[in-house]
Amino acid sequence: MKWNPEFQRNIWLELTPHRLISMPIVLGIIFLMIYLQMVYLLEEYFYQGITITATFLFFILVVMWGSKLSSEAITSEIQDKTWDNQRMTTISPWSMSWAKLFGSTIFTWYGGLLCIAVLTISSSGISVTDNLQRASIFILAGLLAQSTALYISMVQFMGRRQIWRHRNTLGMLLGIILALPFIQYDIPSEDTIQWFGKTYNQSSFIIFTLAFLTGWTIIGIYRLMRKELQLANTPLVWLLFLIILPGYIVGFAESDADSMDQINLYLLITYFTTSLTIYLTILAEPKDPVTFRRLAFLIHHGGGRKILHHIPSWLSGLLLLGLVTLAITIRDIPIASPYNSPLISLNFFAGFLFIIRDIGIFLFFNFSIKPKRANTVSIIYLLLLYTVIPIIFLSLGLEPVSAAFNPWSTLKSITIISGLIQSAIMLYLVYYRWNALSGQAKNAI
Amino acid sequence: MIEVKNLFFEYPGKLALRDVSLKISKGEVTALTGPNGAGKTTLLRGLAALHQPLSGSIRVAGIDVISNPRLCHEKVGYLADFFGLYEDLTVKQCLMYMARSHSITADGEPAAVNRAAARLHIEDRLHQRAGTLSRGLSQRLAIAQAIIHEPAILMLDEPASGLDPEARSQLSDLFHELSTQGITLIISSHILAELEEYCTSMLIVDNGEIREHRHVSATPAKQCTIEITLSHEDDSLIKFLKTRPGISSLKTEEAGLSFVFSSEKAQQAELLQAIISHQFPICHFAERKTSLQDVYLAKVNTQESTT
Repeated sequence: MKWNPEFQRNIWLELTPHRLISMPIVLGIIFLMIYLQMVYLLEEYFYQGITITATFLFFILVVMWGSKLSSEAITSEIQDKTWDNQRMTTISPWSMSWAKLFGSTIFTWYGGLLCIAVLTISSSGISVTDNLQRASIFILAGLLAQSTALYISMVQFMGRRQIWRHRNTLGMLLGIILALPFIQYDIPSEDTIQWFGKTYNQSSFIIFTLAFLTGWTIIGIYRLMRKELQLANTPLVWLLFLIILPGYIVGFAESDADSMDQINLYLLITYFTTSLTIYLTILAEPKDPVTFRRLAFLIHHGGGRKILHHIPSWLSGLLLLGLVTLAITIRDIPIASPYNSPLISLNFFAGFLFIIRDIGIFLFFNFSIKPKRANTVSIIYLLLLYTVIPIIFLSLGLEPVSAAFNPWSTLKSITIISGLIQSAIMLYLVYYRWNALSGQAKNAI
Repeated sequence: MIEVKNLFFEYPGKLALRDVSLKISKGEVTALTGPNGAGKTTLLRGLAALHQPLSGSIRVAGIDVISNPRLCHEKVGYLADFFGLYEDLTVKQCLMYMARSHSITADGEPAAVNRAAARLHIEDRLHQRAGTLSRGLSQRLAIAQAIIHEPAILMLDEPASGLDPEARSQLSDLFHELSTQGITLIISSHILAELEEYCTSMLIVDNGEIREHRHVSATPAKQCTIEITLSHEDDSLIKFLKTRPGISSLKTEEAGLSFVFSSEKAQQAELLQAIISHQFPICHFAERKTSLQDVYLAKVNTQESTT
């Protein structure tokens, strides 16, 4: 078997003889202290104490420390000026991805697995199956936390190469927040979960859910790694994720819903999850004019498949949203609005137009030579447009004007016309600014 | 070996390379030079498939770099101007890591490590931690890492910056040695004097464009730098020389003047005779070997005067 060199390098750095000896000694001392504190208690409380301690230590080591290390796996390389060296090697994106994920955190896994071993040994009255399920949940939750932290840190530096203070905090926090409920999960559990009309053991379903989420996060890491190593991605995998995620959520709908209802529900959930991911991806991805000039160049020169490689995630999401909006409009799905009046599918079309406008706002502020806090400014404008302005007009008794800023208004004609006008204005402004910034780069196209 | 056509590279708000086309043959040693911010690093990173250009094509060792960047990485060694090392690893581990990262087999690995260490004269440092090496030795280790997979092309960005004179001299010897081993070298540097001995071509980049790409051996054929020393200052000589045809890049120096002039002996004799006949206090008139630095400055000055 060919040994992954990046993983090997991490082992050299992370699993030094000193560390290999110190981890069990430190953990042993902590467990010994707990033992000495609790040895005089009832057997039940004694085991409970050990279980809580082992769980807590696993959380600290694998989830918290592991997330920190994985979020730094690449940013530290950039900071230490070694990342270009790694990019120049022939290590494949997949090998680099798993070596970064598991290699940077291997020491925390060493301690974490010792904690799981203590947890298993100290579990009295728990079956082997339950123990295995708990170990699986812990390992997958740890992996989810670490892979999320690595993924978010990669999204943050992708195409920017800016290393800023607290650069790894967001990824680390998200990882911890995602994993925390699973670490607290109590085994054994007799609870069940209904999914697509079938009954599943809760523990088994949690393992499936964790594997589902972790799997997609690792796929995300792999795709970003491909980009870093100068390889192209098509948007197909991203679209597949956007299609599958609502499917997972629809499974929790009541089992007596007929298939037509489930399709409608699927479309509605896809509409909202896709909209959310459009906002998240436009916030996260680079939005400089160069990205679009490259796309324009390829379109102009009949770039074929290469065009797909340069389509931003939010744009492919927007195309999917367009199709979903069309399907919702055609099916004319009945749904009650929060305003207690029927909300017909035209509002979804208005919502689609408003999203185009919002994308325009993000692009407009980002299309400058040195955009300063462009995302923050865009968010402030969106808050004004969605909350302050409609409320002011509403309080003045000008409901039709307020409707022009609310895609979910019952005054649908105004909302749609306003959406069309606003999105057209923003698209024009974006094009105008992009063109103004092009300068001599136009010669390249 | 390297062929670039109509390359454009854009950073937000700045066109870093504009319509760059060039060819570099196998075995050449090219000095890549130009003012700060001219686009040298961008060009090198584009050639090394670390950056994707806006448009244009790059072929390195027969590989379309834009379509097959990973294949390019197999053929190219690259050292950035600001590089890092794994300071907690030993020199040997650093080299082993790079060897394995370039898919060198387990059987070939020890030989590759020893060969790279020997080339860079760091065999005696194999068990030393990278973090404890001097700046010069770190540079050697970084270059050893870059060439461990025997690349056909080695690109180095400002390799001599931050080195003391002795380390620079050793680095010059090293490049000379690598060039004799048949590696195509592209060295971005401001210190042209050190590249002079073994450079076969010079590429001047300025404001994102190629200003000059010439074989160095062709440099002294037509023109040379003449230096004149005067026994005492005489400003009228400058005025006189300005009226003479064929003189360019006229500069006042510590003990006299220098200028670029024809390397034809007859023309030089005629000029000297004219200076003497005008009774200027001349005590030295000689041809100075045209250095890369002179060519570079002449080119940049010409460019500045035309803009």
